Amino acid sequence: VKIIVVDDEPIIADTLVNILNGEGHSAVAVSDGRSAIRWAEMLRPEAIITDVIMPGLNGIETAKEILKVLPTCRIILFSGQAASTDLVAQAHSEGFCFEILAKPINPDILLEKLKNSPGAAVT
Amino acid sequence: MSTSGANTKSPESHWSTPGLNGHSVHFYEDESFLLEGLGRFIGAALSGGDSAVVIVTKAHGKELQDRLGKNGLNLAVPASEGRFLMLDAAETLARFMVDGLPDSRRFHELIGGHISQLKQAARTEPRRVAAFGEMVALLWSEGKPEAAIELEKLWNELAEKHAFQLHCAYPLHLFSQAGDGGGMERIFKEHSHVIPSEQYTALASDDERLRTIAMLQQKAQALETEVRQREKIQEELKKREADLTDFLENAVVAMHWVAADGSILWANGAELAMLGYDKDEYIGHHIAEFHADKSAIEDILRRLTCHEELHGYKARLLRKDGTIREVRIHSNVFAHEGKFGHTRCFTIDITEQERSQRRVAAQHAITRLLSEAATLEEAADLLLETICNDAECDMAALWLADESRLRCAKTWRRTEKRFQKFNQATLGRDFEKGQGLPGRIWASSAPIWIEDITQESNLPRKAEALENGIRSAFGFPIGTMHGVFGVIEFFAGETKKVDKEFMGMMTAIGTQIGQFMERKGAEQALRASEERSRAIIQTTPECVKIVAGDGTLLHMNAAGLAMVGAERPEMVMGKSIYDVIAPNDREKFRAFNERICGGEKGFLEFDIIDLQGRRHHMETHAAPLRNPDGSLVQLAVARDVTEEKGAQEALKESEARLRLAQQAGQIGTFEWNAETDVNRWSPELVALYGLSQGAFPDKLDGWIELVHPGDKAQVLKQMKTGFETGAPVQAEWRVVWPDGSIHWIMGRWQVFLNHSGRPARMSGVKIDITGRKEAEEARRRLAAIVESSDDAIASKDLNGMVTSWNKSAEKLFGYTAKEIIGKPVTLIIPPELHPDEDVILSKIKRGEKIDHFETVRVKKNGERIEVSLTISPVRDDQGKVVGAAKIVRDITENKKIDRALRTTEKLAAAGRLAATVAHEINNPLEAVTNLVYLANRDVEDRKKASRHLESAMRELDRVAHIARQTLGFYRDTSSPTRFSLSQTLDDLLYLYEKRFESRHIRIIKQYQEDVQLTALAGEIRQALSNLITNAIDAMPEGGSLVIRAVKSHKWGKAHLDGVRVTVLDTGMGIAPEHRKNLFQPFFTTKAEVGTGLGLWITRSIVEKHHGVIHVKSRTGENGHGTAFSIFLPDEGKAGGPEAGFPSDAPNRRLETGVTN
Repeated sequence: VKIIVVDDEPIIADTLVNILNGEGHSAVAVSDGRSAIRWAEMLRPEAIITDVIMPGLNGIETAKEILKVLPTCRIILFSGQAASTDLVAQAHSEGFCFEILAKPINPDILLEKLKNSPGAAVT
Repeated sequence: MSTSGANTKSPESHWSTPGLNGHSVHFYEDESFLLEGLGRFIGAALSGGDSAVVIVTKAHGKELQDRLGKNGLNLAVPASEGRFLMLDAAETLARFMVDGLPDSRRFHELIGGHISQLKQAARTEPRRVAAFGEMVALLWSEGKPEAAIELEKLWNELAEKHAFQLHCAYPLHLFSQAGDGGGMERIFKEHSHVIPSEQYTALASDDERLRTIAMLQQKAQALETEVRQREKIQEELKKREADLTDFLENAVVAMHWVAADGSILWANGAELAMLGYDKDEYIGHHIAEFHADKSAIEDILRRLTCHEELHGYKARLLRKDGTIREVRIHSNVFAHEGKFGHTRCFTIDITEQERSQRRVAAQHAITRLLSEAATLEEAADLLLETICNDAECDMAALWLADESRLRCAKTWRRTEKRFQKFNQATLGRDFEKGQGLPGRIWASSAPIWIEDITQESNLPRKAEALENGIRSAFGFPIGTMHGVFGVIEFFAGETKKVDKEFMGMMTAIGTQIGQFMERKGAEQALRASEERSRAIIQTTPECVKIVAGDGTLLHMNAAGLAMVGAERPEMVMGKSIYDVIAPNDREKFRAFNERICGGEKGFLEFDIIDLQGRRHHMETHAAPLRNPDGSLVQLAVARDVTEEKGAQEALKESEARLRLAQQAGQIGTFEWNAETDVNRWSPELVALYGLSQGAFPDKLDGWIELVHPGDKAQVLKQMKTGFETGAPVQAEWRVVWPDGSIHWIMGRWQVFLNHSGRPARMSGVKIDITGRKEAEEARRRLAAIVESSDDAIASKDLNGMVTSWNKSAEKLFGYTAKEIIGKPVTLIIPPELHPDEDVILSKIKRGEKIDHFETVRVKKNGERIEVSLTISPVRDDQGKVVGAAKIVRDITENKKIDRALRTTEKLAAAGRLAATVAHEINNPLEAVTNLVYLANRDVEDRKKASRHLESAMRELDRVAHIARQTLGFYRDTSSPTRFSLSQTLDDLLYLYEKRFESRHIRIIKQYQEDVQLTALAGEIRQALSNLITNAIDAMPEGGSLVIRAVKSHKWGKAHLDGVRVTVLDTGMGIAPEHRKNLFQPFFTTKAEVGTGLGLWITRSIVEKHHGVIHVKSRTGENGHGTAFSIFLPDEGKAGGPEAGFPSDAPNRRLETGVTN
């Protein structure tokens, strides 16, 4: 699966990409929302794994932009801050249904999720 | 040049006759005659050995050559010898003419040059030159006589220099006009000799004769020309005269000529038509025959004889039919050889214009007459005269109608002698309707015109009229639509044709006079009625007066004058009536007067003090009276009721005394008369009801209406009791003043019954008790409040004795009011705090108030309670402090709750803090999780795995550090410790290191080495942490973060040592509108990540340490960023900070500054 991993902490993005590629995915790491959108247009990934609270565009704004270009792209959010849930709830009220995972994520669970078809419909 | 002296004769050649230097002129008619003479002149000169020059036309030059050639003289020979020169006149002239005149210098150079050359060539002695010139003739013929004369003069000048014989020639036809004689004379003057035309050598005689002949010839020729011209002009003149005659004869304007003797020479058709005469009836007659005013024509003729011109001279001309035309004459005299030839006169008919002007003027005059006259009789003479003048009549009569007859009231005649008999027959005569001219007009109400009275019957005065030569009569009615009041008739000695326009005008005048009579009649009736009224008023025994709105007495009858004791009207008239009103009734009367003058009717009783100082009691009925200008005055009829009231005199005195008392004590009195239902109020009572003087209801029902609706029933009930029992009654009620305010009144009154036991009158007093009522109310309200208050309220005097004690106080302290009132307040003060009471009392005595003083008090059972005291001074009416009132609030419970709350708050704050650091913990944990997963995955590759694990270790260290710091925060909140602020800052910067890296934020540390501080380290760390994370959030695109820590002093208080920490970022800055809210809880500009508590917590922490926080911020293009600056006093030197979180107690001054 083609995946873009977005996190403003490079060590998190890099390790995640390492794990995903080791399992046969094709992942790249970027550290902010703008880069993610740019890369998404070029690579046309099937999934985006992104942190929520980031400087510049946050994860949800990034996801919305990417969905405009790739409506079928799967979005997986992960965050270590409670404030993120408020943002997800707000996006939900606007008609976006995002999966969100809490940091730290067990890599096995993440990989399992990627194997399964997306649980929630993306509208 | 001499002309006469050179007049010598030579027998051999005539041309030499004039002498050596002669300048001769030759007039000629025939050219051959000229050439003959010229030939001889030149031929003789040349053949005699002299030189010669000829300046001639080409034709003449040729002829001369031919003639001399025939005589055997070849001009080529002398020419070759230089003795002969022939020049063309026109060409030569052109060489010295400048601007149409011969130029002297050029002439002398050119001609003089030739002459002197020729002279040199002459063979004889003395050397002579003969010259012939036609240039002057050429100039003359070109119409330049001035130039010709000028040239002649130049020739003469030249002749003075060079002796030579000059000969000029002019063709005579150039001088054929009579007026040209002058020109010829001038030419003669320039010459010494004249050679007349067609002169034969033999006839040559003396110059005078020759000259005369030439002149005569010239004159004859001129005459001939004039005759021809005159014939032409006469022909022209005849034609013009015919035109003019035709024009004058047929002109629209009337014209005539009158000879010096006054006879009419000529008159045109228009004039004859205007006056109605035939030509032979007019022309040849004396002009005066046709003038109505003989004096006028005499004047006209006199003026004209003096050659005066007449413009618009007014005259009256007689027509053939006997009528008169009014005209304006324009005339002057045509002088013939300086004598009176004849007048030339234009006559403009202005009869119609004058008549209409006169009529308009007459109508105006009549209108003016009527408007100025008081009666018709007064105006009659002028009226009749004016109408007569207008109608051109000699007599007029005015007839006035009564019930049945028409009587002649007035006649007017132009002169005393005119129509004498007829006048006698008219004056004083009366006719009945239909009788005679006036009677007929009266009956028909229409004007009647009799052109010829001989043709009329029904003329009772016909005989006298005919005897006096009356021919015409005219009359018109005087009257309006309401009827005919009279008739005016006129009589004239000549027949007068019916003039419709004039009749119409007279009818209008008749109506005008009728209206005048109607108006005058009405005025007279009014005057008569006024006279009657005045008589009644003057004789009535009651005082009748008219008073203006301002109190000025305008009128007062005789009875009134007697009442006020005025011997003469002017003693009071025009003066203020208020002056005679008794002083205590003056205001009442003034109000009454103003009310009446405002349009009301009314009745009033009042006293006057007459001019002799006697008091009268008056009763007056008054009504408003409208002045012609619309203003209202008071018409009043007053009766002196002093006698009736005599018995009450004594009472009055006491009333006056009572009134004095009333004025002092806000007491009003009233007296109600049951019989008249008149309720008399004293002015004080009126004031009690908030009414203006005079505006009180003088009926009992009106008063009832003033009582407050809520009290009406009760008052009526008490009134009823009073009426039934006749006993004194007392009641209290409210009244609503016109301004809406509510006032309390207490009334006490009694009803007096008459002999038959029925109420006769009721009188009483009323007092305003509003103040008392309000005070009572306030007291009641206060007492209720005090009693029902949850707070203990007590008061004490300045000696510290308890004076009041409410229910809550009883409950709080356990003492009953009875127990403690009168006892010292120290009973409830703990013994160790007794000195406080002295401080409190001294403050109270100074009038100061004590607010929220927290202290401890003792209950009756010895239990101590924490209380908050508010103590206020109590003042008496004079404002003197007489005691103190205190409110005691038990705050023991409050304090307990407060403490609990603060703990909760602290925990909540800690939770919020934990939330902010969650990110710092969860992120490293995420990294560790991933790294451990990778190490496990790559366990075969030991190198790779160990690298993963090393990274994981670093991340775990970070987590551990953060956990330690966070836990430390909880652990060391209990008491201040001495710690290194530098170390704390370093720890914080390490904590956020990752964030700085990811955002490209440069850290600049500016600490003084090892800054130590005694404080609650965890809280200080939290405060600084908040500032640093704010700075990070402010710089999403990177920037610089400056952290400065220095030992310092408090602003404004140099003695207080401490530490100042500054956190400065180069972020976007804080918008000005947000700055004032920065430190408010839950204020945030970062909804996603912020809790809105950071700065609030920071400020709370700083203030708990008695520190100060300041912020400076800039936004905009030219530099932006924010600097937070914290000053923390070193608690190691000044006592420790308060335990717990700060309360928001109102008396705590927050030292928080926001600086832009």
